Amino acid sequence: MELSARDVSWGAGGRVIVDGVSFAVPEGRVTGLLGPNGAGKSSLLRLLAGVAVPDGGVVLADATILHELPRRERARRLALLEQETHPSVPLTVLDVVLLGRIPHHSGWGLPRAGEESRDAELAVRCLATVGLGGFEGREFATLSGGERQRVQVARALAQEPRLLLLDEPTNHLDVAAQLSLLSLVRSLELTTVAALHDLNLAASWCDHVVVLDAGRVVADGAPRDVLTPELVERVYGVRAHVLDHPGTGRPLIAFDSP
Amino acid sequence: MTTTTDATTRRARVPLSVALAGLAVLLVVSVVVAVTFGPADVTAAEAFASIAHHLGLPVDAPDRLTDAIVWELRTPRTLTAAVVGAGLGLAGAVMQSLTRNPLADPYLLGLSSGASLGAVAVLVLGLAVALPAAAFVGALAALALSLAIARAAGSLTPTRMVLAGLAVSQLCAAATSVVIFWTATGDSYREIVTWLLGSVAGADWGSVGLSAVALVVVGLALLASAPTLDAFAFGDTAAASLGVHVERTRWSLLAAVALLTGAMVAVSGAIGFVGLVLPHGVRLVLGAPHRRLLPAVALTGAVFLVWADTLARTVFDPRELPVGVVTALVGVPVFVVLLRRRGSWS
Repeated sequence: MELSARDVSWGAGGRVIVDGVSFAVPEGRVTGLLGPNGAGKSSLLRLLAGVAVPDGGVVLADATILHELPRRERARRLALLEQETHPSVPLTVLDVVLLGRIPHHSGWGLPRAGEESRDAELAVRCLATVGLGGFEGREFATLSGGERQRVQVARALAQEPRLLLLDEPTNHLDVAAQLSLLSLVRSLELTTVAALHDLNLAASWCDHVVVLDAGRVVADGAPRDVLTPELVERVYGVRAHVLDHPGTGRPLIAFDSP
Repeated sequence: MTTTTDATTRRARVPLSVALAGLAVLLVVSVVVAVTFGPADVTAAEAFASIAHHLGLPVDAPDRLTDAIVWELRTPRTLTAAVVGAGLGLAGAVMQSLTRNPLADPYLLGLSSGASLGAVAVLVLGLAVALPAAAFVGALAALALSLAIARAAGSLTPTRMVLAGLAVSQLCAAATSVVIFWTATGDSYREIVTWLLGSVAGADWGSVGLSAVALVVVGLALLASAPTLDAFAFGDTAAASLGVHVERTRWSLLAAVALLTGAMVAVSGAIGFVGLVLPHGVRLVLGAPHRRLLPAVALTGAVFLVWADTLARTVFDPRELPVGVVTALVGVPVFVVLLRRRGSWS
């Protein structure tokens, strides 16, 4: 699905947080959304997901204005994974994945015949895809951080979306869980936009990166072209060296002490 | 995290249809049995005969006195308890989901304190208004004030709702105290306390009708909104990303819960703990998705309050306890047990 931002601005509490952002999400690729804390990554993701409505400019989804699409239609095209969240009530893993089916129902009334069993089958398949087959009856709150994020990916897949938006999905995860989550996301072969903090994760897992600073896009391109020592110093105020990863040949960023 | 046992990580669920059928049978049996308890001896057969006779079944009614006790006094009272229990269970479950707050109850937005103020005004000042009407108006006025305060601070977030409700509750409680302090005499004082603690002692067929209409209308609307309520489990943004219109849904469901709670408070005062504790218990046994939770919590609330009221009117016979005292006495230990069983619940 084609998703693009055209001169999108958004603010809260009298402060401009996203300031005239334009870029197109490359189809079928994994795009990293980078930038320091407060650069507007999460806000831009919310705008791209249609959860927030731009104050100026538009987000276009397949040439239609995203916030003019019916809400459930939008939720069938785009799935959003927030930073780590906790449910307010005790839910099983299967309950969580089934939340992804909500946009596919009428929103009112009782399920149609066979709908419940079809949904459950799909949810079980989604859990198998994320490597959590057999976890259906487990209580969500008792899972590890990495498992919880995988369940959320399965929930997103149950939405049968054409585009996946991830807000710092690797927060609070150990290295192994970070790598396995990003490799899972790549294996889905869905158009993906992921806000990331770790420049090295972005350099090794993203096809494309967009760098935000103070609500504006300051760079947009392949990681090798964008993640230069000059850019890292300008945006993050940190001196860095860009090396080649000895195994993959991808950019590897090493930081100097301040 | 490392010491979780299989019992806490994996919950076997009772099939919903079995649970609902079981609870429905339990409710019918509870009503008939509860009607036999009381100062005058009534057998289950007489109770059944009287109820069946009035429902138009070809059964002879028992003698006139027994028939009047069963049909005019105990049946409407027991049914009111059942309907109020069901309504409070539903309202509590929905309020907890909408605010994502496990301590939310049906009275969260100042509903009970507003109703109390309305009722006390009638009891003490002798206003020529029916008590249920005054309580209902008081509840809705308190709700409107809470929402206005929450809305004035920005969009209607759960935290703002809880804080605004707290402020309005305190205000109404203070106003109620002032009214009581200045005007109440011994007799009206006792009546007021009974009402404040919650009681279905004064229930008649009118109370059954009023509360049942509210329960059926609002209950069906809530049941139809079950998937939307599920979408709030991970918060407002998650709900919005699943295609839910968050603000509009929260306003309309709050209005529905307020009408339901207002009707319940109008017939029974503010009965505590039913709407707070029962939803948690039902979630633990049957699961949190609302298609399962809502019908089950309504039936459980009905059964619970029928027995709580039966205890309230028989334990210290011939004196009665307000049923709210019984629900708290039973509810608090149950709450403690639930908290202990769910160590991971933070």
